[in-house]
Amino acid sequence: MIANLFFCLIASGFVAGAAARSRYERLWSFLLLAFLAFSGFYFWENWQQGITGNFAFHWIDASLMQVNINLASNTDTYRLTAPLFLLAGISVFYNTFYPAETEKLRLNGLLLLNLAALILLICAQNFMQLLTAVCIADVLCLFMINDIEGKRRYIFYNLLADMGLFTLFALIWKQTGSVDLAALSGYRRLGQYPELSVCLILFCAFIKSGMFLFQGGFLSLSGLSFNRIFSISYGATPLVGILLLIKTYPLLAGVSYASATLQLFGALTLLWGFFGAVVIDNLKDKALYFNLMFYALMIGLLSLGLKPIMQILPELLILGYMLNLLWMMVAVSASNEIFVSNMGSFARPLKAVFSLALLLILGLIQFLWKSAPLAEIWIYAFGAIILMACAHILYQIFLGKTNADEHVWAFLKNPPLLYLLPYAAAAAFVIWKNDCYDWMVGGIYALFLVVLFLGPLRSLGRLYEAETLQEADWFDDIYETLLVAPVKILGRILWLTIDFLIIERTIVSSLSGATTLLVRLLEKMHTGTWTGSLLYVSAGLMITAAVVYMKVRG
Amino acid sequence: MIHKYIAALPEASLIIGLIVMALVNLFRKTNTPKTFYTLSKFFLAFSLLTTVLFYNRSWLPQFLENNPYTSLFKIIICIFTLTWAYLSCKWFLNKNYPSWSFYSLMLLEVLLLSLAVSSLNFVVLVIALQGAFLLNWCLIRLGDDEEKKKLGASRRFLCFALLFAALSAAGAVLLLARAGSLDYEAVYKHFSHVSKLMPVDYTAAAMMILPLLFMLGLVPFHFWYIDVIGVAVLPVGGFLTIVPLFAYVACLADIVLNAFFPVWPVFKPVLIVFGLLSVGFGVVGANSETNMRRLFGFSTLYHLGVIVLSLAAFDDNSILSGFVYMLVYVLAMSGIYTSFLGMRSKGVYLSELESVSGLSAVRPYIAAGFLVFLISLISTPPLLGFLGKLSVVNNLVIQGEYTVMLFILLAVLMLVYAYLNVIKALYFDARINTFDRVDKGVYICLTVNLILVLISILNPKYLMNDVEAMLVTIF
Amino acid sequence: MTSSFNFVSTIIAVPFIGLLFALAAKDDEKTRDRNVFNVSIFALITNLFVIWRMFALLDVSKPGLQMVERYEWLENPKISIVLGMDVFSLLLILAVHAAVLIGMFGARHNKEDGKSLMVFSLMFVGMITGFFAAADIFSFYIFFEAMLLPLFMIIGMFGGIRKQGVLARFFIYNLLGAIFLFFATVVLYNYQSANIALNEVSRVDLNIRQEIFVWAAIFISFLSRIPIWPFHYWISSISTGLRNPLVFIITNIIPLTGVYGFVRFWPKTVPGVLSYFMIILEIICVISMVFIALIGLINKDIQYKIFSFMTVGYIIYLLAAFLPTDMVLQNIGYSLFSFLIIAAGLEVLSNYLEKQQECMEISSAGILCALPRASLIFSFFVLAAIGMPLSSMFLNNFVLVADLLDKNVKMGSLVVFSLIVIAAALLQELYRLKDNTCVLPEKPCAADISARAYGVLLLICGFLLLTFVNPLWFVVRGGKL
Repeated sequence: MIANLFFCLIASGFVAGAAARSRYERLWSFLLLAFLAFSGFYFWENWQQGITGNFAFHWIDASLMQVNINLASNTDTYRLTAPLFLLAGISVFYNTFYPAETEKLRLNGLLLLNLAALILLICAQNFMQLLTAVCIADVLCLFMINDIEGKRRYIFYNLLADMGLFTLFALIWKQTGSVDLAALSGYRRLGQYPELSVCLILFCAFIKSGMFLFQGGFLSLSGLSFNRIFSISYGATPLVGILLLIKTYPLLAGVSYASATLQLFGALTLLWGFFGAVVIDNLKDKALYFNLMFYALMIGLLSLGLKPIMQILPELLILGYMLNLLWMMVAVSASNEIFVSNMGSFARPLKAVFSLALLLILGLIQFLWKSAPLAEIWIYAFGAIILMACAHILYQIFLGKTNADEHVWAFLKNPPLLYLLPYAAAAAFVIWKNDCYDWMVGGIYALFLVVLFLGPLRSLGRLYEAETLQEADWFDDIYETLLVAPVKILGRILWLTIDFLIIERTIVSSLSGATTLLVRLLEKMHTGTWTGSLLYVSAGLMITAAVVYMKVRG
Repeated sequence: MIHKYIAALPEASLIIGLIVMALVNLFRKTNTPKTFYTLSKFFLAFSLLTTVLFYNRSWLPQFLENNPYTSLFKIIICIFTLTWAYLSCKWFLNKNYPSWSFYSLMLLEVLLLSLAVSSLNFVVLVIALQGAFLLNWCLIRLGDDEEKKKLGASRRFLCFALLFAALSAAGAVLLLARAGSLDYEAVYKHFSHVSKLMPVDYTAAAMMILPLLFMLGLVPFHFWYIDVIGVAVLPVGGFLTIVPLFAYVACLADIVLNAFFPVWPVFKPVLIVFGLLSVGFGVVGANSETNMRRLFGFSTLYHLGVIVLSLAAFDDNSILSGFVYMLVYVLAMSGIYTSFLGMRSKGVYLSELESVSGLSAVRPYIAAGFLVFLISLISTPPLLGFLGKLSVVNNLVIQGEYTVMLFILLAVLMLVYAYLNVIKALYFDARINTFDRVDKGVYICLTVNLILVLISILNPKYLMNDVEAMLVTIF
Repeated sequence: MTSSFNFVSTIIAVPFIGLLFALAAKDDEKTRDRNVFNVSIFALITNLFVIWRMFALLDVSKPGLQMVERYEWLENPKISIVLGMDVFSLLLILAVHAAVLIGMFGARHNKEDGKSLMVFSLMFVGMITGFFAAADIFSFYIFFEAMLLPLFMIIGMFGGIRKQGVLARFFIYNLLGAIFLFFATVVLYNYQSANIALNEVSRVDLNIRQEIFVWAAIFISFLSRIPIWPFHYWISSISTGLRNPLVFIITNIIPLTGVYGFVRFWPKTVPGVLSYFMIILEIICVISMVFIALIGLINKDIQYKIFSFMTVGYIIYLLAAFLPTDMVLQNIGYSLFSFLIIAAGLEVLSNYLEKQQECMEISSAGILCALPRASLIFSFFVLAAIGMPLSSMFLNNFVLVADLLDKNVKMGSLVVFSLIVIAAALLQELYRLKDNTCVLPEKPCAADISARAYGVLLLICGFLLLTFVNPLWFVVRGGKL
């Protein structure tokens, strides 16, 4: 059952974390893999046998709020958990064997804990569990990112998203009096803020999934190694954004502009993803732009309702993940070269990788064709764009004119079978699973091959040399200029005017000046002289006379 | 016959003490500073004992009356004089300076103050009080440094003390002319029975009250006190700050309640103005000083101001609150002066703020004691000073004097600023001086004072028990 | 549950007894303050046990104060000192003890006169415990003002404040607040001719003029303790200069007394005459919060950032205290509990890092890269501080923000904005300290936190996590909240 899996994941995650940097790190990783395999088998068996059950832990039992932690096992949770489990397993596998990864066990431990957090999110039936799961996943993801710039951007973007969620759920809880997610469907009464809430939820989800305008945090993952990129992209925060939208869909459904916004941002992200994938030279960046396209599709599908996304999400994730793996294999084969401009004509030395790429594309086309009826426009658009981008990049890597240096050529060879075999198996599994041999699929594949071999976009390769384009960070610059800088300037102005000018220079100085004046005055009056003494005595007598006179005279 | 005059024993013991001391001074060659301290201690203690024993018996009922009220003040005067006499001895021993003048003058002053407190007649009051006050001139001149400043201050003191003594005597003559008698009771009757009082009546009353305010050192008659405190030797400064205040306040309350109460509504604003001025001048002056004795002299003005503002209504609550504040203030001030005796460098008693920098590092106990008394003076709980503030403020609220109360409370902030400079010097600044060993007696007195402060705040009923009952006997 | 043992006075007395022992402890060159330190720690830990026992005896479901103790103090005016305890007060006492304990560990190796520091700290703990235990206006006022003395001495002696004026102004400013409270206390006392219980203050039937004066005095007195514009300046100017973690912690506990004052005095239904002032106060609070958060963001000093974080937190608790619901009170308590511990942890670590930075003679940027243990703990504290689900702040702040949003969406939004800004400020600092692009010396002499300290800090982190999982875990018996 899901609950058992959840607790096992937490336990194994902590054990892995504790064993990190131990003497037998690889052995521990194998044990972890074995555990995952066993758990996977157990999970699969339970799912197939249709074992369901409710698990609820009374977390908060106060009169103010009752919150249960639900870990119910049912078809939906099995269905959503299964691909995540699989992806986690693959990630653990590749992390274990990826030579560039220095903290294998720690990363694997974090991945398992992250999976537990995602299960918590999937099973959530109330805001508190949802919010907790999202935040925990964020924290774990933060620890998975081992690049300082990536961490910085990630946390700032996600902080905004989490605070948005925090505000949103707080508002809804107070207005509906319930923390149940079910309350979302009725959240459109007078005095409530459904539009604002949807705006907030979309904002948060877009940040997490890296939609257009909010992609900074997502794209900053390019500083990580490939294994971390795909582990995070398809198993952590970006996915949380989609799951969040799925869980809060009743709220979205009630607001008219939600669908249009989802479509708009999905479309813009898709285009932006294509643009980035084609224009940016760095293979890691390209991988991330491809991931953006996948998430754009998911967002687009959500605009059509829950059914399409729920049906194709598992496979979409697996395909996206495999595409990432493909880029990783290319880089590994080319002595970790990550610039496409330094590649080309790798088809011959990397036959196996090239073949796997073609196999994956076939699986992708089959999947898209089979899923097309669910959301025709979105899938066609996505298919066209992603195939075009793939064809272009595969051309540049495998067929185009080579720019690779001697060192790369000298060591260029297919990755070990340990990489290739699981990948081939997965690709075969996708093709077998889709089981779609329509003539249109053949036609599209043929068209793809034509584009791949002809390389019609090859002239775009010149853009790799445009340094401004490659290093541009337009959106972050815009945010820095429009939001962060004014806030900082405002802070400085306030500090200068209020703290310094008004308080220090005006209030404090005046008080201090007045005191000094009084003190000097007194010093002058009190000189210890005959005149001074006489003056004081006379003043005393006069005061007495005046007061008595006034009192007597009424 | 004897039993009637046995009540004169407190005064008699002081007189005998004076005679004995004079004889010893004349005929004994090997006198040390301790000799006169021992003698004065003995006679003061005897006086204290007999005052307690005969607390409600009078030996000259037409002129002097002993009741719980007067006895309370006399007892307190004796206790503080005894304590200060003990501490002053350390100064005389250290300086190896003859102590005959100081102790004999002190004994004489206590005698006169004691008579003034018990007086029922203006003649006794004027003679005793003015006599006691004029004795201060002799006290001020004590010490071997006949510097110009000191001479100037003592001359000015004498001149103005004589002026006010003359004023007081003239006032007594006027009162005699108007009321036909100088008994308090007769004066009271005169003021209450005459339907329309003449300006001369007010003048006479003013001439009797103003000298008391002068003695108290209320602003604008404070100049003598500030002058004197800066130049007088430490034993004298301490004595003038601690002891006579009780007698002056007791006498003021006595004459206001028993003689001038019918005209008090006319004079009350005078006292309030003087009180407010004292509070204001005190806090500003304290901030202008770097000499600690003068600083505390100015701070005394603030406290005096608070005492008279509290007393101004002269009802049972006012008397009690004024008394509590005064007692608490004097306790703290005696602690401060005790600490002064512990601030010595190469035989010289330090009084400049700069010179005591970093005292806490070498003499932590003295610094801690000083700190406790300072905080007590700004009436911060849980120290004893809070009790005084509570009594005064509560009384002012009962009187409806909200403005006065706020003025007092806000003025303390400025006083605190001056005190903080002292704390800074003692605790936060680096040491620039070496400090001499402190006499055990100073430590003993500080400890006793601290214990008293501690017990009093934990259980003020100890301190306050019966005081209220004793004070109301004035009415 | 009733008990014949005077628990409340015991927890006030224990720090004072510890103080006496600390004063008597030998602290020569050989022992180097170790005895004083041990005695102080022992006193606080003893008190923690007593507090734990009190939690066990408190009936959480029962409203009002329990374990009430009464002492007849003065006859004229007739004043009785009444002490009592509820979960809220006890939580705050526990939090203050924990924070000071952390601070003491942090300040242990400071090259200063440890004896005086420990003595005044114990005095402060005793005073503030009394303050939280006070059940009547007089005892409340007494402790409210009394804690200023140890505070002033601690800051003055160990704060390293160079500008004397700043310190004096800080004290005078706090004293001003105490004076106003005294005024209100005496007026209320005379109006009722009796000492008034804290929860009865709002029920005293004053006339309009008196109501305005008394409540204005109460407002000013409590606001003087909370760094609200324009009075924040003295507290901020002090806080930024402090380089001793214990001193910083103690100084920044002071605003808690203002918040607590409002919580205890503030009526649930605001009288008509006060509602106008209420709006003004809320506006000032929100402006101050945004202002201080923004300054925290631009200021490069970590002390200021921690100060800003604490100030924003306090103002949120203050705004929540104004809400017309009793339920929020417990949430403030639970949230504050973690809040103080987190702030104390942050301060102790940042101070440690500063010392290490001085030792390495480099800029502090990237220092955490060389100190993995410190890095982990510091990251934990920062993440907990910004509201991640690592402490009870997460859940309880959720409730508070929900109530604030429910009351006024605009105000709630500004509160959230401030939280974001202050979180950004803390994160900015965290990633500056973790910036691995900064060059560290090849052989850094900086030492990571010792295994023992690491263990203690991990324990604190675990403790905080426990407060997230079950905020009521330490309440042994009693009903529901």
